[in-house]
Amino acid sequence: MVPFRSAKVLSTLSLALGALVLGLAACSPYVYREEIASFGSGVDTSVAAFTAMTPAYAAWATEQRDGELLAFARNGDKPLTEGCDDLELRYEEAFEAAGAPAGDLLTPEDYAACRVTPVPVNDPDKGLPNLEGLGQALKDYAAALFVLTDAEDEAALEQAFGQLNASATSLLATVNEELAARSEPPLESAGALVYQAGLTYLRQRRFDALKQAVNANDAVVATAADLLAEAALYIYSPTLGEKKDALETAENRSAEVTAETYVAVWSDLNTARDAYVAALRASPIYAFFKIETTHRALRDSVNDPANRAQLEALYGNTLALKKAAEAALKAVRKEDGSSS
Amino acid sequence: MSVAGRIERLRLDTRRAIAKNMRVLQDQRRAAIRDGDVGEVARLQELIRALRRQRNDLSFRALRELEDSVDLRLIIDDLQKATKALHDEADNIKTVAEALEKGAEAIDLAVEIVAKLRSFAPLPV
Repeated sequence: MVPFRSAKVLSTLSLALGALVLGLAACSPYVYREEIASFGSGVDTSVAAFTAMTPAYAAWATEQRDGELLAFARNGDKPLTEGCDDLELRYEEAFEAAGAPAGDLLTPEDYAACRVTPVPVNDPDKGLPNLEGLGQALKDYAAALFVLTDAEDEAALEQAFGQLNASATSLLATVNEELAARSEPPLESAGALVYQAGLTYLRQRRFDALKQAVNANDAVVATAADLLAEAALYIYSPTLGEKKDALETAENRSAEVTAETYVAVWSDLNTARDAYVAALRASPIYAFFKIETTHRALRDSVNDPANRAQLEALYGNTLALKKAAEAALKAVRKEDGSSS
Repeated sequence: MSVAGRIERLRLDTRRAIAKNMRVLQDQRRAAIRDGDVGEVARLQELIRALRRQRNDLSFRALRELEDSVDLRLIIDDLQKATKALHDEADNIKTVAEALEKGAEAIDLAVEIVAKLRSFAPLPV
């Protein structure tokens, strides 16, 4: 009885799987694979542009700290240490108690207690770990979106279904042999259909996860991009100021312009004007704004995957993001003289 | 929360006051250029630079406030949670693929059983 029932089950399964394959075929996360990869790449480049500007902050923080130190000097405060005298003793005592330990003999608090006074408020070594952390979190999110669309799992599944397909074909052959002996029509191959249905199921699951993620996180990504754009606005401000200063310096030469120098002064002024405008145009805040719009386009598209116009909008947004991020990075690197 | 925080950090009133003063000095500088008064141009340019330094200072202070803000930490948490959820789901999908592989092994066994049954008796109609 078992093989006959298997035949009936396979036949029913074929129809059910066929319906499943047709029903779900439109919702594939692979449609978004390239767009999500480009989104991730745009996010990476934008964050790199931001990171490339952090030396400007370090320079400012150093200047501030040095200013504070100068004020201490004027005030007659001598640079001294505090909390360092007991450190070595504590280190030896800890060794006496623990011998050769796996970890540090002293705690981070012990080290922190040993410091130079007076302590300035500004500390250039502190950096901007939270903003850098936000950039990294955004990069990680984009990378995780890509993991969902990555074909690696599908390859594993293909292998698994390859086995299933062979087994099902073998079972089908056994049943069909017997059906032929009894002049019954043979069953069609179910293996390929089983494989397609399995793939479709996983694609659907990934698609659902993608859809859920971009819907749930759209506001978070928008706020993250907005905060990074705000940081970029502040940190880019001195660069714009320098360009404007160069423009004014070029303009000041007009005070002494003569007929002989007129062309040169006029040309230099134009060059400085173009550089100022180019710096404004290449502001990294645009790239962060485009992260927001690209994620929104992705959200709109996954909510209506059959909508060709939305897919095209998503594609257009990812291209714009890539372009803006690359322009920002290029501009920032040109500013600090690095080429890589 | 972000817009309100940003407005507060930007200190727009102070920025506008600096911009207004700079604008006045820029007009005076251009007038001095027209008059050919090089000394006055240089003096005004220094005043403009001083104001620009103040504006830069304001920007970096705002950056520092943003760096230390609660908004920033909350968003990092949210993004990290979202990223973890995506990785978990990707792992679950992988588990499904592995489960299907086990299913294929079970069918292999079924085929063997059918083959053995056939050797004992003809299949019923």
